[in-house]
Amino acid sequence: MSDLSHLFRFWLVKSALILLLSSCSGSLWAESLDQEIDTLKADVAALNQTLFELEEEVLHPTDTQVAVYLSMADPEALVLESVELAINGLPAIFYLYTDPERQALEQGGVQRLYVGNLPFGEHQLNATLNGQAANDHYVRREAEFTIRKSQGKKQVQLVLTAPAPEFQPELSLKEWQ
Amino acid sequence: MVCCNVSASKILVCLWAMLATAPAALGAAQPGDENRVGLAQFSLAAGAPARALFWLGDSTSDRANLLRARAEWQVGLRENAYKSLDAVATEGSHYRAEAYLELAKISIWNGEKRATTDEAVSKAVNVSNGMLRQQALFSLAELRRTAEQFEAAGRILAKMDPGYWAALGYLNLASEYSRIDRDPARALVALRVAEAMIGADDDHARASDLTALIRLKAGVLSYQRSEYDKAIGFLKTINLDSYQAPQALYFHGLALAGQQNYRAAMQSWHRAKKYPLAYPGVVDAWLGMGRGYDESGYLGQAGEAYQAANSAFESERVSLRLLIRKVEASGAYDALVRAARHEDVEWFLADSRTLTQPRVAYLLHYMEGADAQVAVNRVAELVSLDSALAHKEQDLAVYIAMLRQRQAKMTAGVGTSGRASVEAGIAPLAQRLKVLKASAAANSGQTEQLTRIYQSLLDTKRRVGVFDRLAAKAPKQFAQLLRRAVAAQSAVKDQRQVLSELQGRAETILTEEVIAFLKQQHERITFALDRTEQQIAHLYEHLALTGLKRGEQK
Repeated sequence: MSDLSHLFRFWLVKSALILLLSSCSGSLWAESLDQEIDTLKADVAALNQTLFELEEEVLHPTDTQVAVYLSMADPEALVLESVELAINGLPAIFYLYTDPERQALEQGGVQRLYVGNLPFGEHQLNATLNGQAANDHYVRREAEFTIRKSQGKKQVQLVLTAPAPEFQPELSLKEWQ
Repeated sequence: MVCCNVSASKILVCLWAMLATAPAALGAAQPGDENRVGLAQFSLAAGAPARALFWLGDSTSDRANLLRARAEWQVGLRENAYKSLDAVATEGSHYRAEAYLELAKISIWNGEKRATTDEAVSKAVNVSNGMLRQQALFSLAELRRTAEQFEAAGRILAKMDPGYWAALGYLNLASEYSRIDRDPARALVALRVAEAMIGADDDHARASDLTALIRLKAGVLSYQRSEYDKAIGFLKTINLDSYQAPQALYFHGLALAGQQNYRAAMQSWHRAKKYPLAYPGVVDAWLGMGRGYDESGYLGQAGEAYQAANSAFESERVSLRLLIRKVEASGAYDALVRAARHEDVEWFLADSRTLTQPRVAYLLHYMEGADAQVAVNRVAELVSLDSALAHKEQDLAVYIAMLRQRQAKMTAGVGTSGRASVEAGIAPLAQRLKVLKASAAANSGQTEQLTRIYQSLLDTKRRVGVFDRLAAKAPKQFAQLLRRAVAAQSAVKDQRQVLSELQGRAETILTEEVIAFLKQQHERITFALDRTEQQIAHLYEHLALTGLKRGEQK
């Protein structure tokens, strides 16, 4: 009987050791995998930067490039739900915002809403915003702007404001120099 | 490209088309520093940290450094993130509090010494205000709680403003009290405070989730203290769409049974039975039905209820064995995560669908563990990275083909003849413009229109002037772009190979963990099955004995 209990105890200790070793090696394996994933992610990020630069040069040559940005000058102006942009009457983009994106805009973030190529001359920009105004009412604001594309990059920024005394959301256009 | 019938608009179109074949003039005006930081902030929020790093460039403002640190952390450049945060966490920096808080998170993540983490969190508390201060105070209270210094944690929580962070702190403290105290009074007080605190949270969805958790915990503790009315009060307000609903229904039934109200208890358990067996409380609710009939004196119906539970558990074991086989064959990510996504395609046609799918139920139950979340997230991240790289590889193939085509066109001198016809067309147009300008009425819309045409012609003339210079540079620039695109394509291919190997390893870890979890679930159901069999045997024995006694009496 004592031999049996001795054997049982030995088996228990051995099993515990095997369990401990296997769990340690499992977590070490996962840890080393995580480190390798981090390295890969960093490499992919670096490659993404290179690709982004390349895309800018290949797809949007400076002389024909038009970029439209969006920012909020007044964070209280509107709880932004979506934006639609049409250029010369053709839909260019429809963007639906997530909470973190909305917060980023409210904290001074700038969104590159559209980048594309346009020939020289005048073009119509139609922007439509949908969202919730300060008085909790759902609002839809439409604005039309004329931009003139000439030599060099054309960069314009739509700025969302809510000027006093009515504090109604409004869009204005700012040109980047 | 030959333009024969020259008109102003055609000249512009031809010229644009010609110049569109030339590569970009580099070094054009870029967004200003402040706008670049703004663009980085939005990119980061949109889940594109690599793009955020691109926008940040070499900006060195405090805001830029803070955003850079966050982006670097997300793309795996941990050391760089640490350095960027160190640069922000200095005297006079506007973003000092956020930097200290991020440093504290890194410290916790790295498993650094408690003193180091404590120092970072304390600094964050000292220099922050508003919501950031609440978050910092919560982190400090958590550090005390995990060090088993509950009084100190309580004192920190007492300093906090009502809201989400304070509520979360009190909920965690209540969990500790319920673990160490025999009497749940302290835990219940902490939960009451947590419920009062969450009322001040503006984020309704988040507040609703936390409230369900608080009420479930309070209900269970009240039940353990035999305060059935209180328990029922807490549990009956839990939303049926919440993840806690089956467990809440089970305890609601238990509290009613504690008041000898078996009929109402069975109604609660009957509702809990509608949920998949994977959720906590559902197996117990099935067993509870038999017990309810038994206690009410309906022994025949009790037997039927136990038999129904028995067959439900048996069929669940079959489902689990099938699921285990499927996970073994196609991997956990495919069998659980991807399959769950496919089942959810028609989500708009059914409410609570995610809560009622057995496979999704096991996935949700498995995902409750922090390690499980890490394992699934690891694979999901690699899958999404691979899909992004595959997309890039395809794009690069298109760019390379396009660049080769444009390079060939430029080398063949396409566009030179077009330029000559455009140049020849400018002078007659300018002459016509001059004539029209002379005859246009002053201060009329005509003058304005003619001025615009004049500007367009001026642009055209300027661009025709530089066309030859640009065209001469074009082949060299195309060759350079082509080299870069080919190098990028090869780099993408290499990275996809590395990624595929890492993804395989990550999926193996996940599959092993999921199989272990599912086997555990199989054992749990087997145990419940044993219990139903015992209850059925006990009931039949009781019925047989009663029958014998009746026979003897007759």
